[in-house]
Amino acid sequence: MDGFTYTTQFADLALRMEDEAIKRDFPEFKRMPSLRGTGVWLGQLRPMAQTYEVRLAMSFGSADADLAYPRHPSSVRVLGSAVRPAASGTPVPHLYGSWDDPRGAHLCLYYPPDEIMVPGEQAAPKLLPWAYEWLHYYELWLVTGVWSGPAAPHDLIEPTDVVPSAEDRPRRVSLPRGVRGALMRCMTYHLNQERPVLARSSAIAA
Amino acid sequence: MIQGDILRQFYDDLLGDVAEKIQISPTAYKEAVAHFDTVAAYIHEEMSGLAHLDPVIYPQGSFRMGSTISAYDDREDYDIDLLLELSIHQFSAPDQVLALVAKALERAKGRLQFQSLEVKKRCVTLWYKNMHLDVTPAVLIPGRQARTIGIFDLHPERPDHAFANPEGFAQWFDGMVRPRVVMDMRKVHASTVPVPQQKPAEMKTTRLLSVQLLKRFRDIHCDKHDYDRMPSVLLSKIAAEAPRGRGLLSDLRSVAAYMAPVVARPLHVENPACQEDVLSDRWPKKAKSQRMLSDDLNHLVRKLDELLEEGTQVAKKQIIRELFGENAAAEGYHRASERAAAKSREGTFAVAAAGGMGTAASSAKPMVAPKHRFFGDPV
Repeated sequence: MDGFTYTTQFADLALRMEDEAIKRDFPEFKRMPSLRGTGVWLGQLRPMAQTYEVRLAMSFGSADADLAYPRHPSSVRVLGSAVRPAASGTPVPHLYGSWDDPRGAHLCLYYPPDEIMVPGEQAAPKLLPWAYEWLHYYELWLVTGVWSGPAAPHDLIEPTDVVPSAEDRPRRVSLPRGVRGALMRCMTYHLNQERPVLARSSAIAA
Repeated sequence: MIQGDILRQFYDDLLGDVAEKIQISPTAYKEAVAHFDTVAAYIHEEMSGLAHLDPVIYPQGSFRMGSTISAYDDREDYDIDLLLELSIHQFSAPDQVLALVAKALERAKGRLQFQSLEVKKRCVTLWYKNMHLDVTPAVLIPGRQARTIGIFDLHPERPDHAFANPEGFAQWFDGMVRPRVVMDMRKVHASTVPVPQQKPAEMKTTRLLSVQLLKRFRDIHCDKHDYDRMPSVLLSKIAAEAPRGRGLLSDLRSVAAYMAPVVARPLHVENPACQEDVLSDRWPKKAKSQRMLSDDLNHLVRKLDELLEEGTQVAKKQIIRELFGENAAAEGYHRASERAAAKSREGTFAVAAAGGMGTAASSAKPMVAPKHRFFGDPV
């Protein structure tokens, strides 16, 4: 598994930072009750003609002395089947999975190797603006048949990046790239120094 | 910037692209100017038989005012109106004047390269492959406002030797819709002989684009509902007097909302440069046309309002298509896509405050989406 397991304390701190930024820039989005180390927000975006119900979720993967919490790639989903194929039947581009996924259409917002997604600084500065932009291009795609936004082809991703997940197997999925920045390595190191984290398997076993 | 501003900007740009699409093409424009130049050069030569009448030829109507539009079915047949002032007696017989001009032009058929010539009630029409030039002979009336002319008219129901001043009207229209810098340029030209100038759509004023969009709307809806088209000069006069709107969408709506009740009432519209030149004397031919145009203009207002309301983009495109034609709508959306893509590439794609859900009271600010690439195969 790529990436790190953070302390739950750190994950909660990062999620509070995300929430504060969302409240500032996207005040219509509200945080929903969720597991520790996990953030879920519901809100609306209206890039042009239509208003879309949007669900943002992020789980950084954390653990404390007693429990380990899952890690999932941050996801932005459009709810209520508002995203659907063109009248011609052409499938919607830049989606993970199907448009009629009962959990909502899962938007492909970025090419993972291009981005370093730092916990605490993902949602308001990047994910929600990109979701807004995605919906803008989606509306234009519906009437022109052409996705005019910048796109990276799937072929670019290396086979090693194809990670089967219990949630989406066997589709290709995009996981946020593990944080390898010196700063975050350093923070994790110091947090772990103060409150060591047990290995995930042993934490679950305990 | 709240959502309304971003939306209005989107539709202002989209309508601007639609207006760009309905302009006379640069190729056709160059052709028209070339035909004009050839005819102008010819009539000043002795062999035309007109040179001794001190001819002065200049464009009038839409071509002069920069409001020429293409046909909505993309059929190319531009109507270029020219005035030919001759030093002849004001009360010469119209049929003789028209015959004189026709004979002179017919003589140079090979040089002027027109396909055929037709003598009409008040002009001689030269037919070319994708346009026709209406050459209207006239006589300058002394002692009146500059370029006031007498027209020779064979039509039994219209007065012969009627006064007109199309150049005076064009200058009034310029003053109403054009920026001052363009006006100053034109005054320099007007001191000699007015010549046509083509401005790309992006250099035209909002009101001039509104007039062009309105003409396209008129063409489509008059044909659809089978009533006679309001002449462009009359439409331009009324439209120019409408209150201004901020942005093209708002301006077009303002013009349509102003015109709808005006055209429903009995009309008597004079050329501001010539009182005797009644612009409304040739419209309507059928009484029902006024009410039908008024209804259509109210329809235009409603549809423009709908663009800003909640709905699907497919429905919005349908509105643009219904108002201005299939090709213009397709081109508008194509260019809107290109414009958005350029902003994304530059990292300047604007996100409305609060993701488009903000209100004026909201403290959220608009932002820019960071540069990135959507993942997946482009369709």
